[in-house]
Amino acid sequence: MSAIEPRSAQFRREREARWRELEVLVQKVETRGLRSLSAEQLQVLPILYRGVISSLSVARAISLDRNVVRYLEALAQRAYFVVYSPRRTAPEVMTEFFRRSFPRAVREIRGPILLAFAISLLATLIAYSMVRADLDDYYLFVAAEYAAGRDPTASTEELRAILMNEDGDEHDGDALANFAAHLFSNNARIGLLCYAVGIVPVLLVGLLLFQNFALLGAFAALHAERGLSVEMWSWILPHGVTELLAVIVCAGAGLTIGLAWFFPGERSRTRSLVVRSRTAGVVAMGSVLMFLIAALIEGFFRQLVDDIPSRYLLAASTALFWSAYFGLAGRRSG
Amino acid sequence: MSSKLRRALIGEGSAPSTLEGVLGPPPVATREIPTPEGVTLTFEIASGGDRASGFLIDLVLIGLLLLGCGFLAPQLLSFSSLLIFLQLVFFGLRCFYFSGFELLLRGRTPGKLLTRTQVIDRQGGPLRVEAIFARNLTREFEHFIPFIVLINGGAILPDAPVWSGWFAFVWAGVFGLFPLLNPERLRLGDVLAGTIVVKAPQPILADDLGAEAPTEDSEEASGEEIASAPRVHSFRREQLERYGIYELQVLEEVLRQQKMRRKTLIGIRDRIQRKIGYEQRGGDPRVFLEEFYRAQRIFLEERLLLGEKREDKHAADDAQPSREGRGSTDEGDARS
Repeated sequence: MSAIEPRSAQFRREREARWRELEVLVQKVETRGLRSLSAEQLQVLPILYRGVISSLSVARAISLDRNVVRYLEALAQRAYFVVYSPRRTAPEVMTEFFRRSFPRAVREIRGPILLAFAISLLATLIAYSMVRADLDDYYLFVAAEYAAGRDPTASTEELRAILMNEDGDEHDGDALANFAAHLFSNNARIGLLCYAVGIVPVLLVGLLLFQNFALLGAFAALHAERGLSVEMWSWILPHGVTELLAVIVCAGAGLTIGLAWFFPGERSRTRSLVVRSRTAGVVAMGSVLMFLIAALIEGFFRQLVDDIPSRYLLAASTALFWSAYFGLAGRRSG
Repeated sequence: MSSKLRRALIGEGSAPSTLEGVLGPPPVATREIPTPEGVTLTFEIASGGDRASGFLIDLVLIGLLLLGCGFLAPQLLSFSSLLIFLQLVFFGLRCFYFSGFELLLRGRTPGKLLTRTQVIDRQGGPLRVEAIFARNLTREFEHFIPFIVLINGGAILPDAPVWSGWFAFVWAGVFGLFPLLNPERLRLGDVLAGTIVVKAPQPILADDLGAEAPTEDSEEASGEEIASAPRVHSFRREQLERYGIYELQVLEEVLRQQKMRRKTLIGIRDRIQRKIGYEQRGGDPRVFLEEFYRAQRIFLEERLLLGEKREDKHAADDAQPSREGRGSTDEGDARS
């Protein structure tokens, strides 16, 4: 036996200081972020990382010391994420999300969203015409507890009172309660449900969406019957623009996932799912925020505004805002 | 691994009788990710138990946060608004807890920190915001909706029939068990987002057992002795040809166990001495094992450089075929 100690021990002794140096840097980045490193440390980080990667491949070939190989493997893994992860802080991520990712993702899946829109429109029209033809069909589309008095048995005056904030609402003046009640109202639930069920059967999305918008159609028909159309839309639209849009966008996201499975295009089926659901995930997360905005409008703003023209003005400005946002935001690259 | 090891060596209960049967590396599911540098990194996939306990910890934390808000709020709000307020907080946590933490802590939530697991991109790319959103929004579908239906079916769809509770139970069960049905332990959200949950790497560099300087692994009693004393044992070539890499690394594990009983070490020493036909029986077991380890490693690493990789003692050896069959190698009992 010629050697006094294993070659791998010598190999380790020559390099250990560099490994330890990288370990300290990686630890620092993981706990305090990349900004905690000085300029020199930043410069040396990738060099040390490459050193460890090459040590790892040498160690795998020559070292029988399992502890060293494991150590290098773990260190290389941690350093790999530090070196190759996007270097962004939480505010940067948020800004990026609102300025680019969300509107871009929406534009990217505009096909499914348009499909969702078509289903919604169709449902509204069908329910509307059916209820206009026969008022009893109202109950086909609207569950009794959801209607909360707004059904064909209610008098025109009662309906008007609800629309114009004239009723003695139990949450009267309690903006928070209104906000919450609205957030958990039918639409937000249907929207998220649409995203969620899109994962499995695409058809269910269509069904849910159809049911929800049929409800709107029936509701509209009832009020039209009593000549309250103008008031009704002024009640719905200020928050409804945002909210119904969010429902449709959410359903579009759900449809995207389902369609990615059925029509993977040139990608493999799993890869197609991954790529499309990431986009859909961004869209769904964005629409959660749209629901929040709609609830804010409903809870804090709309209750304060009683006259019909300003309600329409509000509705129009939200419509303008969203079309500008989805049409224009994040177009420029960079 | 170590508890298994100790149990086997110390001999509690019905431990398997052979060293090899117990000490082998447990079959760990791994995911290989090639780096741009051309070296493949092998990640250990987080087990179902890790995943479940991480998720439970997060749920408990969400519960505690809700409770905390409930205790803080009464001074500010009336009782009826309190419930609404809590509902809002729950909605916020439901939507943003997991995504928020995974964004801030690089793919980790408090539960994942405690279970030492981490979300990474399945292809090895950077963990993107989109992926985090996609994998966490599906929780709505996988856990929250069935959970809510289970409690109150009417909350999701009005007029939910009575059996909807059972349906939700099965639903939650199917998606809850989904990770156990695929080898990479992917949740539905992981499949969709292209992510995977792995054990967070913990680099721990212990002392080199093969290095010339005495190590801390030596027992206190004999530590100084080794430092001053020259090598007590020497081994001949044919004695070192008996074992392979596998046995060497098992021995490494044994020597790294701090609390190994002397009796156990003596058992292993005797067994090795018998097997290699070592003339001077006895001697301090730790000194013998450490020196045997060092000599064996030097020998095997040199062979490795020459391109001869002897995996274990059963491997066919051109120079000197192993004269002992499988049966006789098992005779020595670690529990002696």
